[in-house]
Amino acid sequence: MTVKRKFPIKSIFTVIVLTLMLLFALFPFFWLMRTAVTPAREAFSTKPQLLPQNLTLENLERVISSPTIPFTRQFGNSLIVAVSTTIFVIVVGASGAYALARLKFKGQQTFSLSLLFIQLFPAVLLVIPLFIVMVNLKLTNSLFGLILAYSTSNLPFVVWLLRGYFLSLPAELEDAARIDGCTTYGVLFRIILPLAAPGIAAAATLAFVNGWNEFLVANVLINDSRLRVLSIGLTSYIDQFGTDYSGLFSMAMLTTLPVVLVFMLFQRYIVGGLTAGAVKS
Amino acid sequence: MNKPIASMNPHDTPAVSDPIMRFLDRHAAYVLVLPTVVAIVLINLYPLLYAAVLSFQEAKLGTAAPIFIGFDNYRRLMADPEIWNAIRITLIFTLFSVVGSVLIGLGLALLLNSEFRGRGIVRSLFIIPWAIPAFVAALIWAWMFNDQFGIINAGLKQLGIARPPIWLDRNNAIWSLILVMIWKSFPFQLVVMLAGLQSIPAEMYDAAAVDGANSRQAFWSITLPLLRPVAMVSILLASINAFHYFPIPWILTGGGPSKATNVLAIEAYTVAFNAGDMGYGAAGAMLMFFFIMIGALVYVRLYINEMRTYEK
Repeated sequence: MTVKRKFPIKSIFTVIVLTLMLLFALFPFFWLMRTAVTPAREAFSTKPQLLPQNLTLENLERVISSPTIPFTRQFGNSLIVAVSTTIFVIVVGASGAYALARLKFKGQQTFSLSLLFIQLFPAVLLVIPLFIVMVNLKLTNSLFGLILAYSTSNLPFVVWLLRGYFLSLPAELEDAARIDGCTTYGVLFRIILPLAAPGIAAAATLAFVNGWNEFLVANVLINDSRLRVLSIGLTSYIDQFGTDYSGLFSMAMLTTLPVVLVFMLFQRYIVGGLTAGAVKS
Repeated sequence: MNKPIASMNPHDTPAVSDPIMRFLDRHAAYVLVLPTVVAIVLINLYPLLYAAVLSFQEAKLGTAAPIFIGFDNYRRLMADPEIWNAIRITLIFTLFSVVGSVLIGLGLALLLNSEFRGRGIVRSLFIIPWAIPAFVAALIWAWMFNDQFGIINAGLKQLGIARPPIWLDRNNAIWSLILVMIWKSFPFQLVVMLAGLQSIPAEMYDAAAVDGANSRQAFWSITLPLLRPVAMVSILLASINAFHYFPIPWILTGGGPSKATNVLAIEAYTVAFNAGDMGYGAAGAMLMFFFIMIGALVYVRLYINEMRTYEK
């Protein structure tokens, strides 16, 4: 299939625009890494240079082994929270999405529509009562509380995306399996889930990235520095009386690298999954 | 459209000997959807109702039991100049950041829709801002905007601009904030628009070319109209997202200087958590919810129309 070229790629205009936009998109990421691997004295020059004169891993080492802001522990917390959230939303979300896509139950229409609405609740609206509920349940300062909060905030969009993906799969295979005596669960686990792997990869990637990057809820629910996740942990480098910028940006870089890698790795699935979820509704 | 399999009809259910399994299989739809319903009711619906109740109460953090005060919080909202300021700033922030990210996303999608070597790599490089955590993005941009040590002004000075702007001062902060929001949110628009462009059948362009249409005519009469349904939904989603966006404003400017970037999300958050006035903060959040609900109704209507078009 040839897509008609409205702008021939050879034209200088296109190349210039793409280059400038790539610069805009990538420069902040470059600058983050540049600040992290530059010695503090050089990074804080009033005449900053684009490329560092001296490269150093000193800042990164200092952050990783900091006694006051336990990096490895907070990295572990982020990993636990993001991975548990992902597993939870995929297991619960895939079952719910399958029921919505292929089975019939009372209140199905209402439930689909309410899923759409729930995605639109402002986080700030939920975080105030969520905080009170979590205090009452004694789930503040607990990773479990955070996982619970993230799981449910990610669930509506995961169900929606997977529902779209399931609908895009052909129903004939399921019918055949059913005739062969498969139960609904057998159909779901043996036929649907393997076929929907790309859609599940998309949903899982987005849930993981959301869990890793969340800031507002973690800021409200977690106080204990040993239970902090990376997003909150790195704010410890910000201090009214003098922010440790080298430490801050080194930790920010170590926080960002894993998600950027995950995102790049699964980029293809995100595009595919969003397309199926958005178009097939 | 696929028809749901009639698994709720017992006659279609395959014979399974174990009665428990048979029961579970017959009611599979409910078994499968129950965890989702429970999770959503507990952590989404319950807090939402809680917030609604809270907004009618005087509830202060760490004091005695809340008191029901009727519409007092809402009356206070209406008379509060901070709220009106926050609404104005939120609307400016939403409008310009959405327009900017949609134009950039659409423009890049058009450029990236043609085939050339390295297109895949260019496309995955463009979505990096989406992956970067919002709070990290805000920290880097604040650092780049810094008027003494920042790279942006250092670059401008190199180019011969003696007195570059102070990016985060009272007049410029809102525009700097919008720029960062555009940077963070254009990749989503790019991905969705690109998906929309690729779903337009190539035959339509071929047919138009046969009829003698030039590429500009093809753009206005094929590309844009066919992209419209996808674009409408993604624009609406972006507007709703920007309307209640919190992390970038919170870290980049914290609402300042002198409330010049005090969006509603920050206003509600500071009232509830810094001033400890949970009831009033909840009322502010409900006000946001009211605005978003209007957008949501439009969104659902569009979605239903979309569904009808696809079903035809």
